[in-house]
Amino acid sequence: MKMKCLKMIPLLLLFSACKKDFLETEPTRQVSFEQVFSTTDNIQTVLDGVTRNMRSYYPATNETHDQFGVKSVDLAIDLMSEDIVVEKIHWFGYDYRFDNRTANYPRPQYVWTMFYRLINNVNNVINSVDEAAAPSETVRRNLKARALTLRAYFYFQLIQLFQHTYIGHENDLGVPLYTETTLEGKPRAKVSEVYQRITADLDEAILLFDANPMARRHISDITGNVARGIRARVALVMNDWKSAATLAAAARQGTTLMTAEKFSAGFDNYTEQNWMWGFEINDEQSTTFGSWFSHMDWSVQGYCGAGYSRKIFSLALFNRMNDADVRKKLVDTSLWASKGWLIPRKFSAGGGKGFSADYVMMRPEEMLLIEAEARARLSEETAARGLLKELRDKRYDTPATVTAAGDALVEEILLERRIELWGEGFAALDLKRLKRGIDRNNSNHNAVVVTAAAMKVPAEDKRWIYQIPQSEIDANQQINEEHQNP
Amino acid sequence: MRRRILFLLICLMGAQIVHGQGNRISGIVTSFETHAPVFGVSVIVKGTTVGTITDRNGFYQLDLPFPEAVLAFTYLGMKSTEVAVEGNTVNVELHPESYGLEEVMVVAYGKVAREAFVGSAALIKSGRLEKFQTTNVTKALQGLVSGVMTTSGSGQPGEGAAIRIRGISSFNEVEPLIVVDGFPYGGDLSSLPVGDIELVTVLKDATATALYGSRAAAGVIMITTRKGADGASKLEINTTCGISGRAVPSYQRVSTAQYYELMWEALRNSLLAQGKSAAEAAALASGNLVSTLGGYNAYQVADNELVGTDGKINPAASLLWEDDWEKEAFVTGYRREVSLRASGAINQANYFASVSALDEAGIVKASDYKRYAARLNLNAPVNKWIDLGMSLSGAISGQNYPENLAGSFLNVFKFTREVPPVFPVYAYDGAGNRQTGPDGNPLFDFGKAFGRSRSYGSAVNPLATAVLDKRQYTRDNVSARSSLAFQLARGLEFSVSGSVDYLTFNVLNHENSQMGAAASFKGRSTRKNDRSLTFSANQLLRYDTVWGQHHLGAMAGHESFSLKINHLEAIRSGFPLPGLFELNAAAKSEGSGSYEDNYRIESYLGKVDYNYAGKYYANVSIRRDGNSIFHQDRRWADFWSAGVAWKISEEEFLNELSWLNTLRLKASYGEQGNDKIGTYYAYQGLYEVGWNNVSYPGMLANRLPTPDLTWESLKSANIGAEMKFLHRFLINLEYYRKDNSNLLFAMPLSPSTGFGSVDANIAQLRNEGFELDITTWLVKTPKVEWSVEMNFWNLKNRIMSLSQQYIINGTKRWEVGRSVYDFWLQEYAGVNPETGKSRWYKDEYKTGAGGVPERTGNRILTEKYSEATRYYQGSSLPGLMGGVASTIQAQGFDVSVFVNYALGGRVLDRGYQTIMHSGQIYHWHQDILERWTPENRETTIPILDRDQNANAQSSRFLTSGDYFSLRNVTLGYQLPANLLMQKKVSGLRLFLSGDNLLLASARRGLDPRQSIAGTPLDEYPSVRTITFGLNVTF
Repeated sequence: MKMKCLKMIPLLLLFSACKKDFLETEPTRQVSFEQVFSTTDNIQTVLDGVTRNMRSYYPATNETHDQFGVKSVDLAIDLMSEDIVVEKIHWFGYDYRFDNRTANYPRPQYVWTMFYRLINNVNNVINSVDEAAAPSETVRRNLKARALTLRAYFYFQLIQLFQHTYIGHENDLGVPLYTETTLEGKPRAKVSEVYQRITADLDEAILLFDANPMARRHISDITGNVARGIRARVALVMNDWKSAATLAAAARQGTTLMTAEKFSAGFDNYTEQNWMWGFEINDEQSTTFGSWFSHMDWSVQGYCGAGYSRKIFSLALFNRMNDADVRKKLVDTSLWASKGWLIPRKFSAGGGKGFSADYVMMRPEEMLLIEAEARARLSEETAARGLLKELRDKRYDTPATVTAAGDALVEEILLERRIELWGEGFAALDLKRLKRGIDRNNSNHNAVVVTAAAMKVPAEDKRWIYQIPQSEIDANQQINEEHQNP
Repeated sequence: MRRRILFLLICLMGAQIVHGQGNRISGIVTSFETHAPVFGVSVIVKGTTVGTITDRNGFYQLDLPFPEAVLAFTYLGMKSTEVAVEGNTVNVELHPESYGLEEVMVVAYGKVAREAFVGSAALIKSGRLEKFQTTNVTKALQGLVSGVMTTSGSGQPGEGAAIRIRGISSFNEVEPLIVVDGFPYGGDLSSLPVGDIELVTVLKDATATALYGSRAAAGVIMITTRKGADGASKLEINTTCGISGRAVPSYQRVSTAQYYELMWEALRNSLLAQGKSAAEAAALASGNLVSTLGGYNAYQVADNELVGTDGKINPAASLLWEDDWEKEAFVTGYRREVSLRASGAINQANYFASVSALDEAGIVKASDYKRYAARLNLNAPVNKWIDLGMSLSGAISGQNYPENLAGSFLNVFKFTREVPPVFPVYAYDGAGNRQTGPDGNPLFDFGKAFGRSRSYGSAVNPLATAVLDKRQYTRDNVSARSSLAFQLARGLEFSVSGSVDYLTFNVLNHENSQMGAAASFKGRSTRKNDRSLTFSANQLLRYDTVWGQHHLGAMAGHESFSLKINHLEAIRSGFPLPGLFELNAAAKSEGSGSYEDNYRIESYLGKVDYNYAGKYYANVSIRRDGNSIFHQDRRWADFWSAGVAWKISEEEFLNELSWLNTLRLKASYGEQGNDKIGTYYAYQGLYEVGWNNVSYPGMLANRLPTPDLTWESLKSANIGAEMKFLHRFLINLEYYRKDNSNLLFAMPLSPSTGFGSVDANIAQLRNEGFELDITTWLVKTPKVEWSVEMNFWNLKNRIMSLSQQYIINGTKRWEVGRSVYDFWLQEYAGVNPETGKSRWYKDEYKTGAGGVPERTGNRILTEKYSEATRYYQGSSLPGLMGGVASTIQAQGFDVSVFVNYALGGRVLDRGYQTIMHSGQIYHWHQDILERWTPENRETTIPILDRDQNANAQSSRFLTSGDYFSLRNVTLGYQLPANLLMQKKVSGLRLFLSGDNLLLASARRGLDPRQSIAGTPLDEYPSVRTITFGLNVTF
């Protein structure tokens, strides 16, 4: 019997159950919501994540080389103009043809999901920053102001792409408005409601910035000036000339215009140029082939430089430029005769930055042009001419004279925008707010590449706006086919 | 190979000692085959409950309650034997159970006699597995087992096949749980040599799988490695050597001359469509032909005279080049393997040891697999009541794996199939001289030189870069299994077991710096390393008892499982010199990272087996799992099963049917789960780190919180009948129905919410089908044996509920009442006989009430693809699947043939689709010769006019998925014993074996076995291997 009892000793091993926390596992690549929004320091990392995502792929959605953040949207917009000629159909070719816009096409899908993903992230910041532990109220409110400005920027881009301009379309369907995380899809808000949201966010942000100034940490950080700059853009679209003039002037306070020399430096390095807002790129975070410089720059071996899809300067615009203009000199005509290429050298990172070249998001020259246009429209023509001359003096070899008046002055300023801001994502948005069409004839556009249908696109043609993505219509109970854009 | 591995463990027929009066009798039980004593044989005095069990020396002793008794000896895997008592000593030799009927089954947490098994499982023994010259055991399973659907798998050496047991049980493409020697396997299955495997058990129903709880819903495959046999020590040397080539030839395509003529026609027709006159169009087509093809003129003739305005190639033109891309790409592969296997017993310990080396080269360059593996399995008694089991194995493997991504131009299978024949492999100048580099080797054509611009795969030449790029995978595996079993009392055993699987998986991906896509930045290398450590331990208590006609076995235990994965990776680019590929040499960092994941399960489990009089059987199993993937409120769940079997042939009313050997009915029901839902952290709302903004750390919202998320669950029922008659036929028929619920799916959200989807348990799915297995021993004489095994089965798959009306998933649409494999495609309506344009069907609409369009119910024709309506177009699931194996042994020769087939499914032949275009820059299938022309209007192949939509995806490319495959033929010869040096060599067998010898499918070039969903594309083709082998036993 004794022996039998001893035999039971191994049974003690039966009670070697697991420790209580055995089943508690935590990821190492992710952090819980609670942890993220506990302090303003952590919240800052969300804004940095948003900033990074504004210039990168988002792998979960199988992004392609023409989907690398907000600058890829800028490029798509710019190609819907007369001012850039595409040599061959490759990435962005269908944007150039105005044929990347219907519900199942990648461009609207991408623009929509990217901006709404970013909006969700900044909404979380805006809604939680008041509860987070902060070293000071200044930090808290400054963070909130940055998030509000970003949200306004995202909605502003969305509304301009998914509907015609503000004026005359105030009561048309805009885009759904979200200010907090929810699983329920919302209906398309009216255009005017979307603009109300945008202006309210920006106005609040400007107040917060002014009351809570902080030293700027990095070129990618939003400041009070940047918020005013975006607000000025919005005012321009809303034809609120007075606000546009005042805000644009205020926005470029403390900045200087680029010299001709700096303008010719390649637009690839924020430390060399007087940008108000931009993205710094480094080797590790570059999206290489799927990057602005891959698609636009002839000096790096990307899609443009290696010849897959060269971006060529428009002959029509080239012919309207002043010979004394450094911006004309930046168009390389050496291969015009042999190859038919007008090579834009504005974006040129081949000297060193390569695929790690920085992106410009806002610069004082744009503010000057907003102010000039607004003042011209307010009939403050002397001021407008003075501003235009101020810019041209920085671009021409010889001092410029500006004599135009009335509509001709406005037209000169608008032409100046096309020249100064060429390739920066404004061309088509300007055409939309001005309710103008394009005519690509009598220039160097190739009708076979463009297709006959896209050689001339009338003002407010349906092709100027994207359709709501099919995935939205499929999943959102409140947006149906009847709410779809034509 | 009919050696039975006799193994000491629990005997369900364990007996209880009853002390009585009478004669004491004793004896020794030995194996007829090995002459070794057999431990654990149940010895019962017939008609009583008096009995005992033999000890380690085969010795038994009992007191007879009366004289003239008959003793019944029973042992798993041996024929039951009855002996009338004469004298005081009764020695018995037990014969192995004949006719290949498995009398012992390895099942979850133990073994069971086949007749006592109430569930559904299939066994594949080493003898069958070894016929296939395969590296990964999963590739041998196709067609072997009813209810098990596998793909043919990639032809890449060292790769396995996808397996679905009794249908799809998750939208997440979950593979069955693989259990090796009692524990879920965390290693790489290719690292486990098939020669080390004694038995594969495929567990199919609830009873079989319930004890694997939350991981069992997709079925379980249990692999049992070899053990040493008692008594007979031996050493086997196996060596095989084979050559391999493509098992499935390529599509039949047009010649270079035909290609130019066809492209001319396409150009001419497209110009006609633009309104040019016939003469103008013909002249322009002749003039533009070569420039359309990027300046590639493969003939010695002026570009504009290559094809005349009559559309015929210039008869005076002579070919400058005609490189055959496939010929250049495909090489003869080989497969060599040497293995040494020693097994036997020393005193009371038995062992199995093996070492093996495998060297396999694929059928394209830079594609191979090498493996070195070793194993030692040891079972030894520590003393009279403690047994030790130990198994150690290790394997290292290296693999070169060329790009296999569908759609990638670096994918040599896609490229060589699609590239037009006018583009050469090598660089030629305008005069047709093949260019050579400074080293004298021919230069490859990257589509750029001599002013040309190849418009297919520009700047890519996979044949050039395949040898300069590196895609290397190395894996280091170590596995250990150990157990201690304590015989606490008669019938009561306690065991403690543990397992460790350690796997490191190291990837080198190098894009070379000299040519191809990475040349502009001087090459790029990625190094990845995954270390995974799987640890399990369990403590089990078993009790077996017998009283009267009642037999009861019970088991209860606790188990823990943990998996830790550590991932590390880095990417750098910019190599200073050709040939360098390690990260140290590269100038520029493009990123690096590491992370860890943990996954743990804690479980309590138990089961009870009962049988009465060997007629009525019942089993109940239960497992309670706590799983770290889920929220703590959802973490614990119970899984269970119950099954019964009735051996009718034991009933007296059937005793008179002398032809009937066995008839058994069985039924089971139970509930299992699936936790493979694509994440290890299924409940938290998460931000993803790593979204850094230059040097500032950044995060981005990544996952919505889902505290209610839970496992996918499965309720499955199985009924079956098994009949053996005339000692020649064994028929097993089963019907199953599996209801999967709570299926996890990324439920689409409005993208405007910021998230594309949220994980949710939203769908229900049903799989049901019949399985029929027939085994016959047509001839069974001492000199000749001929057996045939056949299986036939079907599978129906149906969606029972869904969170939304439908979900479109690629070429399928999921909707209640439909299968997840139902194609949803545009329906092709042939060509317009007047114009030759492709046509499709579309729904007709009329303006209904309030101006809202509504369907009229009619279908009309459209030539606009974008207007075509999609319809259901049949399923990729075959209606009938199966296999037939025939084995004949006579006069030392053995011949075995194995075929398998599938009937009734459909395949979307996308490889064919791409080469049936109307003038894009791809190769052409010969079927294009039947295209529409004004002279040939009776055709379904549209006009060549460069219309991008002419060959758009539609029912036109749905092809019958029926196939018949001659999977294996093996011819062997066992040298007669008298020719051998008796004592030195005890056996010598030579064999010749052919794998994948023949595939008959609806179209040459199409291999329907590559994809369960019926959408194969750009896959590494199956490999045919002819092998010679030699097996020497000492």
